[in-house]
Amino acid sequence: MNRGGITTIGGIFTALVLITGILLTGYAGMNAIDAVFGFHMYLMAAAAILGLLALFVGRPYRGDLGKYNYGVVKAFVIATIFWGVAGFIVGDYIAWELAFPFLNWDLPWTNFGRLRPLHTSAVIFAFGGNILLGSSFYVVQRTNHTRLAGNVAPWFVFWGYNLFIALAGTGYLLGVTQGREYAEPEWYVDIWLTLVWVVYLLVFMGTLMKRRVSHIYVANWFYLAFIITIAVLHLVNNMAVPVSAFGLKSYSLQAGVQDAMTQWWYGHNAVGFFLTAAFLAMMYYFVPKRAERPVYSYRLSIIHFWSLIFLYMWAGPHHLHYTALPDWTQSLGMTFSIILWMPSWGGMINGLMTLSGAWDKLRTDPVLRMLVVSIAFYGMSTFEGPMMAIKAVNALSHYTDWTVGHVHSGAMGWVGMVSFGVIYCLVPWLWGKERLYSMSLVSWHFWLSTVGILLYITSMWVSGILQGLMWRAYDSYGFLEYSFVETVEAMHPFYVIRALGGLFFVIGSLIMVYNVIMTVRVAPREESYSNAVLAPAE
Amino acid sequence: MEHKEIDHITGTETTGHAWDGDLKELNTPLPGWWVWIFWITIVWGIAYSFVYPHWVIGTKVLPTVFDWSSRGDVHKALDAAKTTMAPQFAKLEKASLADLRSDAALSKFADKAGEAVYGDNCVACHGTGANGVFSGSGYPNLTDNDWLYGGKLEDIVETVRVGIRSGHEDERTNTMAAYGDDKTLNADQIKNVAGYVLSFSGNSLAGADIAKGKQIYLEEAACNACHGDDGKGVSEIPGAPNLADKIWLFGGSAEKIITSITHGRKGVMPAWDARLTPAQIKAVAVYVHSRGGGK
Repeated sequence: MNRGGITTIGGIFTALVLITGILLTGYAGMNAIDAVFGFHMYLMAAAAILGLLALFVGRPYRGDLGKYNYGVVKAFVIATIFWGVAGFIVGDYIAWELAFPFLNWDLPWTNFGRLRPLHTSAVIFAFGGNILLGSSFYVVQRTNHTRLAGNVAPWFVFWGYNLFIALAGTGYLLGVTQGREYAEPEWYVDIWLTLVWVVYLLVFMGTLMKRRVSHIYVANWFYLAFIITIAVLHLVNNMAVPVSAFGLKSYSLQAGVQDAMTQWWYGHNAVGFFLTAAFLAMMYYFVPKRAERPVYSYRLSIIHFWSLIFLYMWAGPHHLHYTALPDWTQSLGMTFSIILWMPSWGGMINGLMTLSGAWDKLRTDPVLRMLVVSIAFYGMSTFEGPMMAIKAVNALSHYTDWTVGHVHSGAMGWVGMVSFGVIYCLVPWLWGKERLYSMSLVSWHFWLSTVGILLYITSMWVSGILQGLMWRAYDSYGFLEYSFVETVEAMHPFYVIRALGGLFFVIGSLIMVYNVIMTVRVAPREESYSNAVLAPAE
Repeated sequence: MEHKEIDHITGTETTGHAWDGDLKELNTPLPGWWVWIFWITIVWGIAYSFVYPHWVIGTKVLPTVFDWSSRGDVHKALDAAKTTMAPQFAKLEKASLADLRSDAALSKFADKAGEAVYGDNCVACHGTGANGVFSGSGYPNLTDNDWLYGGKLEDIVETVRVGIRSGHEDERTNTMAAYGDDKTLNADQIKNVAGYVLSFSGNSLAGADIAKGKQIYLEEAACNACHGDDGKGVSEIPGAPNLADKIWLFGGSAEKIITSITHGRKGVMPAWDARLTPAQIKAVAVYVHSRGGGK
């Protein structure tokens, strides 16, 4: 054992990267033409200095090759819970803001326009991203029977990714955005994320390459598709020219409808590869593990994997129905969205049918119940999605709350629930506990979340369809029946119900925080706990 | 490595691989219904691609079974709406305001057309019920029979056309001086005059000397020149509010009245003659007039 990570090759390389980073960001910070840009540059410089210090004085970094790297996975799980609760609270706050607009307090920082991207990025990239990165580091080690590649690199990914989140979030609050939905951070944050993501790919690929089994388990395909595709999407959608190397502002390379199409090609595939493929990867490991049953169908996993990957790429134009986008692009997007229905459901079938022979466990194991309900919400959203992509349906649903409800049945029902299930699985496994602190608290969390989600999506269905119908209502003379403001007034009760649903969801997540803390602190130790790398099956 | 075994619960063979101890896969065939629906959507998609535009060669979109375009749909809908409305609008265009009073059918059409114009242009300030956003907000209630610039159809048409302090050459305007800012009156005097103004509607202001207030109202500040000796306004001077009717455009609390006297008030409304056609202006005037406050 040696002192500090600096003595490893990865450590030396990281040190060089960090020193370059300190020089670059320090120089940019001194010459900044925007105050926020200067703040962000100094924040990055400070993070790099801390990273460098950690390399020199930190604990030994050369890990024991005979043991799994659980430390970094634990860090990801903690970050997931932290950002999740923060993101849910901000989301519910802006839901109340929509019902009672005075809650924006006429302050720029608490305005809906700034808090909304803070909420979406916090739940998708901070909560979702941390559990995806963390669980992928867990699954890739366990299913390939080898320790995670690299010693410093996984920690670089952890801190680097969370620095990206801090830069994005503080930027939104201070009014920095490039105005692209789900890709709001400006160019310098995009460059930083690119660097972190490349290292993430290297760690994942490096681990796969030193695997001790010949067949690669299905969860890893989905994780790898997620990592590679997100890299491509991120690069293409963020092609922008900065006005100055020392300032915030940049302009997109494309213009007009091409720019809009690039954005929604990105936006829809972010749903497809971040929120679907990668969370399916989690499902493919944790559902069979928790149910202690084999995956239902290997053949189905192959067919639905490749068809999902191929078809998702074409579906983006359905976000731009009835716009300046050419008709052929719109109908093409709709057709592919409908063909995408069965490939999406392939994942649902494989998840649910894995339970055959273990359905009785749902009665006793609320964690498994969460995982199963998440798959049910996944199936519902992936049916609703193709349906809403049909132009005749979209003519009613577009720009209404129905879309918001649809997104949240996927985000809270599928992504949220499956992540909670995975957290409840991972915490005892990582911290070497025999069980969770309290199963009845998991049950409470399950029911609060489920009721919250149902309140959310049913209120948005009613609100959205009402809104769509009011917008297109004509009187006998051919005049519009309602003014826009009248439709806004009609939304009010549903906004209150939605905000209540969100509150249920937030309370559930706080119960999870308590349960996780108590599990780590007081739950009994698992006697046979070991993080030694498992030998592959003979 | 490969140990294909039969799963005892489903009777299905596994693929023979195992990961992480007990993680295995069954080799279940694809569910029939799943395969069928997948194929049906694919076949449907291919067929549909020849019915509506999908295929492109170079910059040319291949022709489809129906000669359909979304732009064509919009034009059809707009044309249909125009055909229905055109005769009525033509009639409204030519109609005098007197005609509107006598022609019930045309008046009904104008009311509906006006509602649409109002909904798109006026609600932001005057509220969906035309009763102001909230009382005392500075946005006039159009249903209360209290009119600054006249409540007859003719007056409303003119107000909509030229606006108030809008920069239009015929703009309507009024003058409420800022008596405090101009140092015409000191704080005590303003308080006294506010007390006197409140007394028109039977209210009082503690600490205000009504007699002194009356003297200021009638002499030093000459408020009566516009608002009248009794506070009910002077009919020759448009834009001067009645102070005795308990309707307060900028709020009727002592604090709000003192603010009005101290800083003056200068309400604004855009001129709509560049935005709306004469027929639309007539229509929205009919709508506003019919909300209950028209004279």
